[in-house]
Amino acid sequence: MKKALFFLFISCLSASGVFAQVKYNAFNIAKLSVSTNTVNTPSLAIDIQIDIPKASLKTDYWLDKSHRPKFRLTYNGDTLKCAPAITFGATDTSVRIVLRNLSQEILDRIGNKDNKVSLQFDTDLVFQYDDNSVTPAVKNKMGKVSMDVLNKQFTDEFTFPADQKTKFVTALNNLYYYKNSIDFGVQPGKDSTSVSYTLNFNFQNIYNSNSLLKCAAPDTKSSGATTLVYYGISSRLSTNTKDSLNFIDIYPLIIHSSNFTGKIPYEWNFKAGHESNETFTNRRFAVDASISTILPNFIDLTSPTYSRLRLKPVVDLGLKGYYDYSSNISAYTSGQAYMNIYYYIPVYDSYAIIVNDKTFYDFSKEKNPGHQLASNYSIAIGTEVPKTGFKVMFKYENGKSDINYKQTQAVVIGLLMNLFNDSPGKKP
Amino acid sequence: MAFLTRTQVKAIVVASLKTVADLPDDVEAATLGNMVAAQQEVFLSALKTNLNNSPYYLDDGTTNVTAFYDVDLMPDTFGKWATVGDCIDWVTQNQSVEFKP
Repeated sequence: MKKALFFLFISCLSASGVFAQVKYNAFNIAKLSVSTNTVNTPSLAIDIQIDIPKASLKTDYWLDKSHRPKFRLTYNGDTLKCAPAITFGATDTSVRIVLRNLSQEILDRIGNKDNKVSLQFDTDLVFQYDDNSVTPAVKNKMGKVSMDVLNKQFTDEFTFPADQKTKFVTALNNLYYYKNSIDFGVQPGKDSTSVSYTLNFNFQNIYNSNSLLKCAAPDTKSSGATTLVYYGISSRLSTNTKDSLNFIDIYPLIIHSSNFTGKIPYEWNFKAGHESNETFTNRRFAVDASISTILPNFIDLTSPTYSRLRLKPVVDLGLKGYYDYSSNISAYTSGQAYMNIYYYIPVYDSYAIIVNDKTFYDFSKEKNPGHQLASNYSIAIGTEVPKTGFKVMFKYENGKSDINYKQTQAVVIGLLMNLFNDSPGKKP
Repeated sequence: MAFLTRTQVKAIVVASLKTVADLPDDVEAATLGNMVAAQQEVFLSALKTNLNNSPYYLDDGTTNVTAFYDVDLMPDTFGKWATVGDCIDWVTQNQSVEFKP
């Protein structure tokens, strides 16, 4: 009797599905790759693309920590001096292991053949997915990639190519990436027969590229300020060497800091160096501190019905101290307060005006006996060509040079080009 | 849901654009190519921050704080987007979910 009751009980359990096994479809890895991010907190993501056509991974499944695979970094050689922060994630078709708190050491060693840093899984990768290869789609199927398949793939195939590493470090080199530029221009002379050629040149680079990746302990999401030390040279040269708009600024020291994640995004710079005109007749040693931020729009020359962004002006506020030892004067020490503004103003449906203005007040009685504000500005007028971008038709420059306080004006017909990177939209 | 829909991504992109620009009625057709470096950096930073700060949506529509959305951005990512609509499409396709430890 007891035996009969026992077998009846077992039968009931079987019918209820208690002993039913979850079916896991086995898959391989289609591809291993590294994805890089340099915005806010720099990160590397090891993407493990599962070889599963027309499927969408269900990320809800991994909200339960016990469903996530167990894995760790492995080292050929020494352990890392700076341990990265590691998180688990996924895209529609891949799982990813994200590394933050990066150092130059992990960048050098990850995916290398010698002295390698790699990944090892201690459990299978189990996942839930929607199978979209059939109609209607079958939802919530279960799949897995065995840890043996994962580990073999990492041993045999995982690399982080050198050119990708270089691109990552270059992108972190903020001023080098964004602000290096060369502009050539043709400037008509005051009489109709002469022209001069102008060259605007900006170059800055970091002293120590290892400082681009600092071993710290950020949170796993966005981070705040970064501070880096650069050197730089900035100039406007002309075949007309007496053009008072020409200058040569050499800064062996630029301390650059930025924080774009706060309520008021900003960057500030401290520079120390030498400033002069092209012929070095006006020259000074200078230290300069400035802060840049974005202001609200105050000009509207377009209409909301035109699909144009009204970009907000970028403003720099600065203070400069200098020792002027120009030729033919007694050397003296003084300073300047200044404001730069860059403003792209869309006009109607396809035209635009770009205003670059520097307004300054020099505290010296030698340069500014009248105690007046001075400025120099350029106005570029152009049109947006579909699929090509903004094209400058002409640029007008006017104002006083802050080096020698000479008044000048110029109309420049220019070709704008960037030779250091392919990012669009540079200051003219 | 799990991953953000295009409509949800558009709301995040629009909010991020407002840090550097005032927007037209048809924002998706607006071109991005006239931003200078400072504006690009602020926009990309705001985009990533706003994405990270969005709640995670489960398939049943409820939200959870143990996961967040992210997208890998580099300075040259900006060059892939001719218009705001291109940016929305790209972020929708390339977003990821990350789980807090």
